[in-house]
Amino acid sequence: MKRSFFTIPIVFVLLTVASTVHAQFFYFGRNKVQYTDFDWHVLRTEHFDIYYYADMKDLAERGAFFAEEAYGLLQVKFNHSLNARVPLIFYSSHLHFEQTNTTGGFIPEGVGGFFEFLKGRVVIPADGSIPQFRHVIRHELVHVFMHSKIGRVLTDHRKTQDRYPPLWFVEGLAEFWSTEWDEQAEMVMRDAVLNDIAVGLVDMDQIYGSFLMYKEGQNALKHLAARYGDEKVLLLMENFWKEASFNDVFRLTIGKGFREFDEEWLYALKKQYYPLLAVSDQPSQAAKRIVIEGFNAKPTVFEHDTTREVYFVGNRTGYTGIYKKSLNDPNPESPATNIIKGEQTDELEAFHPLRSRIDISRLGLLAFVTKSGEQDALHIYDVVTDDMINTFRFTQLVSIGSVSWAPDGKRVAFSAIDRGGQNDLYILNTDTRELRRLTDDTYDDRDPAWSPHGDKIAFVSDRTPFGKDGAYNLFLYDLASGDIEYLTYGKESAGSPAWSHDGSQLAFTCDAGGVNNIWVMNMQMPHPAGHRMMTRVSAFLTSAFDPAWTSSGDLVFTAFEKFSFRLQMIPHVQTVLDTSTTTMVLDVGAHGAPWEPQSLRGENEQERYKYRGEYSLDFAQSTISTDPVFGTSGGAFLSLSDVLGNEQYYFLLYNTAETQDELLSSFNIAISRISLSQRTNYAYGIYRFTGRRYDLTSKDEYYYERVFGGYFALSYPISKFDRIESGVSVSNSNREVDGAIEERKALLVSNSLAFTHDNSLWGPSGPLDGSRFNLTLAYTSDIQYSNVNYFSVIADYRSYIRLGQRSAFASRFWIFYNDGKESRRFVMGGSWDLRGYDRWSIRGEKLWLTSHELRFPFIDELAVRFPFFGLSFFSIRGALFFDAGSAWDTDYLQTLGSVGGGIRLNLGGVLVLRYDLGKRIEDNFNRFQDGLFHQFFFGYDF
Amino acid sequence: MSLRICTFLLVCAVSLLNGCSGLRLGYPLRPGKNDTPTFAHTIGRVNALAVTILPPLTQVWEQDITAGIGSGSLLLVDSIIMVGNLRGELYALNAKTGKRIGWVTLGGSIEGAPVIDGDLVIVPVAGSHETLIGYDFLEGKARWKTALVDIQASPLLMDARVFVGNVSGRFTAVDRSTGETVWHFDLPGNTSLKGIRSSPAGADVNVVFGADDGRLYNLDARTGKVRWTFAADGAIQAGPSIADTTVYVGTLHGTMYAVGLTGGSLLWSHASGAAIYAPPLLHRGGCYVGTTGGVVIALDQRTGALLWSCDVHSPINAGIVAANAVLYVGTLRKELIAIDAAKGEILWKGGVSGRIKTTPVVGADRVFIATDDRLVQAFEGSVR
Repeated sequence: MKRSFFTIPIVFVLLTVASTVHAQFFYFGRNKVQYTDFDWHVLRTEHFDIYYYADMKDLAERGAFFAEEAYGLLQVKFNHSLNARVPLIFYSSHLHFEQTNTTGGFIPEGVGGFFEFLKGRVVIPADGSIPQFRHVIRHELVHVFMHSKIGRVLTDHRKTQDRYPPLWFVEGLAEFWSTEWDEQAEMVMRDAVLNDIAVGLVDMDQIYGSFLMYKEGQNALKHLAARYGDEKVLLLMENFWKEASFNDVFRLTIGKGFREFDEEWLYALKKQYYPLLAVSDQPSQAAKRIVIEGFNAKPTVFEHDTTREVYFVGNRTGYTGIYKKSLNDPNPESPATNIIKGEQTDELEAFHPLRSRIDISRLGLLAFVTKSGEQDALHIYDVVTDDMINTFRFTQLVSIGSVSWAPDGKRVAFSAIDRGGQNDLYILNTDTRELRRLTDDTYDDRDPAWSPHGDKIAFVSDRTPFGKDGAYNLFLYDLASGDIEYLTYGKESAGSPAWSHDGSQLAFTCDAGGVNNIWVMNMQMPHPAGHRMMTRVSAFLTSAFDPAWTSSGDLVFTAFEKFSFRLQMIPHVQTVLDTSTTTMVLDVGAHGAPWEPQSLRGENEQERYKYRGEYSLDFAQSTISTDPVFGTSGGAFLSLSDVLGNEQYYFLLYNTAETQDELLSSFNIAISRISLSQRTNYAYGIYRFTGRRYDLTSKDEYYYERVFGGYFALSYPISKFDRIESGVSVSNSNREVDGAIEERKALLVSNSLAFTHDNSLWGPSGPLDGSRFNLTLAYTSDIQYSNVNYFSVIADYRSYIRLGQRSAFASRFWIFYNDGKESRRFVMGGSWDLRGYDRWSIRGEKLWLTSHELRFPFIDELAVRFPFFGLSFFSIRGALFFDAGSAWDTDYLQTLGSVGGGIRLNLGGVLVLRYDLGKRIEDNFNRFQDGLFHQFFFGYDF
Repeated sequence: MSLRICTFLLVCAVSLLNGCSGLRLGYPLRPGKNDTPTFAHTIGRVNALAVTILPPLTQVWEQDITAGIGSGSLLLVDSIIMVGNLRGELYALNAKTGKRIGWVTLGGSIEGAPVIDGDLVIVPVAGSHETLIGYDFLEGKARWKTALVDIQASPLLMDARVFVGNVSGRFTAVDRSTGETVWHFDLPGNTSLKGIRSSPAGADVNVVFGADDGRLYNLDARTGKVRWTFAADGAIQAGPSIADTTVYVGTLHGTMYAVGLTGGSLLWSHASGAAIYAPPLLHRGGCYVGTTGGVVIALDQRTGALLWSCDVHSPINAGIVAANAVLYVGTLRKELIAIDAAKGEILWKGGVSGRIKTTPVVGADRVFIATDDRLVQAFEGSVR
């Protein structure tokens, strides 16, 4: 979904003709809101320029240390050094990271950082975990080194920089050289192999960009290094110049192409994982299924009288929300009920489905977390009365993790990341709003679970010597004394503790054995001093997360299987405990001191200063074009921006002279500045344009125009979904219309004010859910010659009613109204609006249109295989439509319409091809046309 | 008249097609004692010269040879610098002035150092069909070309034979005059396409090289029969060096080995902690090598004891050259560094414009380096 403000360069050009007519095409989109006023500073180290804000100084220094540490390691691995300093931009939380202007697009929840090629910037958020921060830094620096290495190899051999390794190799290498093979990687690969989801290198496009691709890439390189030698990984890059195809580079490096390698590699994976079926099970075979469709996670159980329901975070339509389902429902395929719809309003802007557990009190108060504006908010929802009771926001806390109710139903414990990037435990009193901080250190404290007796809180943390490598252990916080007691101690990582209702058992997940399974610790059983015992309850092949108890001793949990998250249940856990033979006795008495994260100090720091703006060239292009009507023109375009992407400058220069004596007078210049650093974005610029024009809104009118002036535009995002925009332009326009006697002069002042709403959810060919609305008011006047004087109203409303997972009924209503002297005409007709009519053939100063369309999946896959190659097309969609509208200047003539059907095909996410067939409704809606019309064009559905 | 015009036009066309290139010296080169006609100066790859060039150095010229330069050393013979680039072009430069004498395109890429023998320069090539070329620079044309699969090492010329390994794991001996294969040896059990990127060293009837399979091989130069193999701890990409009756070699796991030349028995080993890509310099009883860990270490040749360690703060993957008491080494940090051979102290550091990945050459009162921004550069110090 594009940001709205990218329309500014286009809009400013359009404003030069003092018309809002073209704005009918470009005004929707969501908003990337800069809520936070970051106080940027720069820390220069030997190899990096690190951009950070004052709140996160300590974290930035740790990141600087990790970056230099990674540089030292990677220059050895790559046998290469970097020529240029690397800009690293740090954010202390993912919510702050989502505000970055270094990329124009929106950043999804799962993106942990990125390296962009334009300025070579590496942008990384922290998430409360210092080892994970170090991992992401190293991962992104692998990209930087690889990019430099490949470029150097091609340059050295005087090859053009027109090729790059495939994404599976790029991301696989970044993982392979930045981290060990961990339980998450193991979970994904086991699941992929045992459920026949795994693909070979030949078919990596089928999982392009997915997390599975990352892990398969990592695993493929792991296998390659083990089988063919570590040196082969670097050799793949050093041989990159020899062949145009990476498959051929692969072949000449290890002696096998992708296909042969796949046979051996996938077979090795089967040999590795198939034997596990003898001792473990898929979750679906070993536990009761509760919900299997869509995404389902973070369950919590509410029992009231005879009602037994599980509440959870789910997504089956594209919008994440809170769902519930009865535990008494025997059918796992019956749908869950969406009780809280998320991601469509400001208050519930986004859930964190993989991070934040929810919890429900005994009285049915559901506590959950969403992004809401600048920070996360904690919401309390009464599931009995279906009311949102309260919402809490904390200015000093940015991200909130899992929540847990106290047994008194008045206090909530949760973990949260503060502005400095520390993730600690807090308690909120929902009556008094008092916030109490329990921990305050660099360790990552998560997943609090309040004991039923109310005196202790179980949680996980990396505050052990094993935390340095990312291991979390289980702890108990004594609320009276503030003491922290070890419950587990070791390199096995624990998570998601949950107390049984009587407080006797503590269930949690642990990756002992390679993947996460559910273990239980008996909290009342006497144990030797300094020792604890845990018993395994599940023996799943893939993984289990987030256990939640019922009052009858069952455990509901999230299972990972077939690359989906499902809710399942282990009934009567005590029976399992009584017969389980897998136990671990933990020596928690003789624990070592927690690890100390290192930080950049002293001589390794070269310089530190406040950021004032550092600019570099983004884009420079020159073009020359020739046209049989307008002749030849040539020019150049430049853009600059600062390293943070907050301030952008655009320069356009071209000439349209048709003869030598027109050269000076035919220069066209435009200079614009766009500022995105604050919440209110603004742009301003000056321009001079001259040349022949064709006014498609008139009757084939050609004219020559000279116009110069300036503009100023503002955009204020109210939220991610709504914004207000305004603009003013002043331009001096001299127009010579072909065949006219006099020149038309005007000093035009245009003002506009617009409100835009967009919370639409997009499918392959257009929106499927939500709504979009724009209302624009504008006034244009010639303040010197009174040749122009008109006002404009544009109202555009579109709604999308979801009928099914992939079907929707879409409606659109347009009213475009211009009135006054030399008021512009709007245009309509063609595949994008009134179908069946020639494109832009319907013109008028007033225009209305309504469209209604049923959108549905038509052909899921169409494949043709020839002897030597094949073609496949996916997600061909269908549409049945009805359009009606008209355009007029002064007298309303007739209503036009059309009905028909069509198909849409999205090509690689870049272009949507559309073909429509139907009948026009003619003669003021009195008859259908003879025959059929058909139109082939491109573009997304409205 | 028309025939002359046609001939003239034809010559012009041919010249244009050749890119206005040509390498023809018109006289045989006469290598002096302090010349480097082969990689690392001698067939034993000792790379120590009895000249004194003291730092600080000042640059006297630089020449752009239009593409990157491989890890093999420049050659210096009879005041001519000969260097191949990664575009397969062989350049001859005047060592005094840096001016181009000529150049010729021989293949896809020249990664290793050629070897000069009288009127012949033998060039290893990768990325083309013929990969070992005997170029006659008197005639200005190739005398012979042999297809041996890509070669990324520097060949050894010994007793009228040329020895070199290729990336497919075959080691070949060819006749110096004709290029015909005399014998070849394949790495045993090579199902993983382990290659030979290590430049061989020679002594008497011994031809010694390392391989990606982690073994050091000693073959009989006359027959190609295996005299012995030695299993190291990792792939060997660096070439070995031979002095007296000992072979010295480093591995990509960072271990330096000293192995008996006669029987292949381990004499000592030293773990440096980071990959070694270049042959060690053997000089005045010391074994000197740079590692990718950014350290130059000096080991006692007899015992392997660490004499000193010098931190240069940057990976080193090129060889070191000695000019009497001073060692010269280039780094990826774009520095040429002079180190006291006895004490391991940095005497001088000079910044250059590109990474140094090619073993420097010393001679003609100069230190010559190649950098990865396509430049060959000459530096002058003081001479006694």
